[in-house]
Amino acid sequence: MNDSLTYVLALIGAAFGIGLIVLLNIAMGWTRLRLNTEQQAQSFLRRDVMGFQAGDEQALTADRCGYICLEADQARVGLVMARGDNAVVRALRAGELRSVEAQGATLTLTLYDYTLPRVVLDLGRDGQAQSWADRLQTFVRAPRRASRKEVHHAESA
Amino acid sequence: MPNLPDPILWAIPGFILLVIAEMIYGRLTGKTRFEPRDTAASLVMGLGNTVSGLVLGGIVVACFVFVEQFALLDIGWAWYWFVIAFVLDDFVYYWSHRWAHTVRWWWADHVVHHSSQHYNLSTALRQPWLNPLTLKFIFLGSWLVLIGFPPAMIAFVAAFNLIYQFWIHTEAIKRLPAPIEWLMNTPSHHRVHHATNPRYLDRNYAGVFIIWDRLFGTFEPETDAEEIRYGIVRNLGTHNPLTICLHEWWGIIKDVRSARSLRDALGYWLGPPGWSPDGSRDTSATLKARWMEEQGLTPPRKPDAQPPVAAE
Repeated sequence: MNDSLTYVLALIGAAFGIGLIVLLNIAMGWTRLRLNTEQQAQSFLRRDVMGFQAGDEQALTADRCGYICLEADQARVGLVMARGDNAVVRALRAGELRSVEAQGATLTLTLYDYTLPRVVLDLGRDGQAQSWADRLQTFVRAPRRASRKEVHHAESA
Repeated sequence: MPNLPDPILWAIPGFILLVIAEMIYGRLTGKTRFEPRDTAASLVMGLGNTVSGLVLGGIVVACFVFVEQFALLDIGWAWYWFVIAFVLDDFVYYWSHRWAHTVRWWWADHVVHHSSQHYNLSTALRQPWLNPLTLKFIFLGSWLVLIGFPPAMIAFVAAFNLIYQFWIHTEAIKRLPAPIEWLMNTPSHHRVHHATNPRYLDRNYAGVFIIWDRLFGTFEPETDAEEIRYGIVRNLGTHNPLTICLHEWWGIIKDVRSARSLRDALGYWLGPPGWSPDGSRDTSATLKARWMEEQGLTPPRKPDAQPPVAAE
């Protein structure tokens, strides 16, 4: 048997082995994290972001997988997203949001974050998503001003 | 030259059996945690590391063969040279690992290993794919070849170093007898290394012998008073292996492109992770200093601060 074939077979065998271990992990069970209370979500924020104090403006998602709040001094937006049996946390300053959209009860945040580019929060009530979208506009980075070269190009077009 | 086997290939079945055993033990006792997507990501990163080793490993071999021409000594294959090589390799590993945490270019590679929010045996296998491209081996690995240790001997002992480090990635073992905890890297010491609690940041870089950390002032014992938070300061929002592999490289590219001067570009590339020209981001040092301030402790003295000199 040539070396390439050996490597390909080893690769297939390894991928199969990984699949079996993951299936075993699923079969044995694990506990999915749910954010049942605001206090629980805030504990993740305190754990991950030193000095973060959540203010009164906060919301848990209907599926208990997400949490959003404004910091007490309104300087940052706190986000907690349940991921598997743990949570991923972000504290966003002004300019760290690319866009905010409200559609029905769903609030969609687009972030300048390579590993967490989009956060979708189902807040349960229509008005709540729009109200958050309005509040978060101050955290959206203002569109870049066109450069002189771009202005010149547009004028000459 | 003896025909040395690859110890890692022989160890792989043992790795798999131990991961399964720890998973079952964790389920029965609740002492360790596994999550399927995290486990999958770790194992895929491990497999990718093996494949990339085959593809890119030639760069390292070519470098070592080149450096070997200038070797200062002709070290043979007596057994005691293997022992000496093992200890020296571990010493080089300590510094290599320390710089992998303090130079962003090398952190971009090593962050992969720290990117899991879990700490179990599968985390040990979560390894980067682009390691040879960091060229770290030129600055660090080449020293032993230059002294005169045969590259095959170094590869052999380095493999045992990595095998040793596998079993310490567990929460199932609390503490070992005191003499072992004093001399060797253990699960307790390495949990500290994987923690992002400010008190633990950038501590316990050892591979096999924890004495290097004790000698060079980077040792921190584990305390039962504080629950460990695993992962990285800003945890990843994905289990996608490609994103895990590339995220910090991408961050460096974006930052260097936005740099306003050569100094800033070099800082983003070779400065500590979290460095920024205006200090608006957090490095391990700033996080630790802020934490110490919050705790009412004195922050560590800056390296450039000189002790007061007595008047003559």
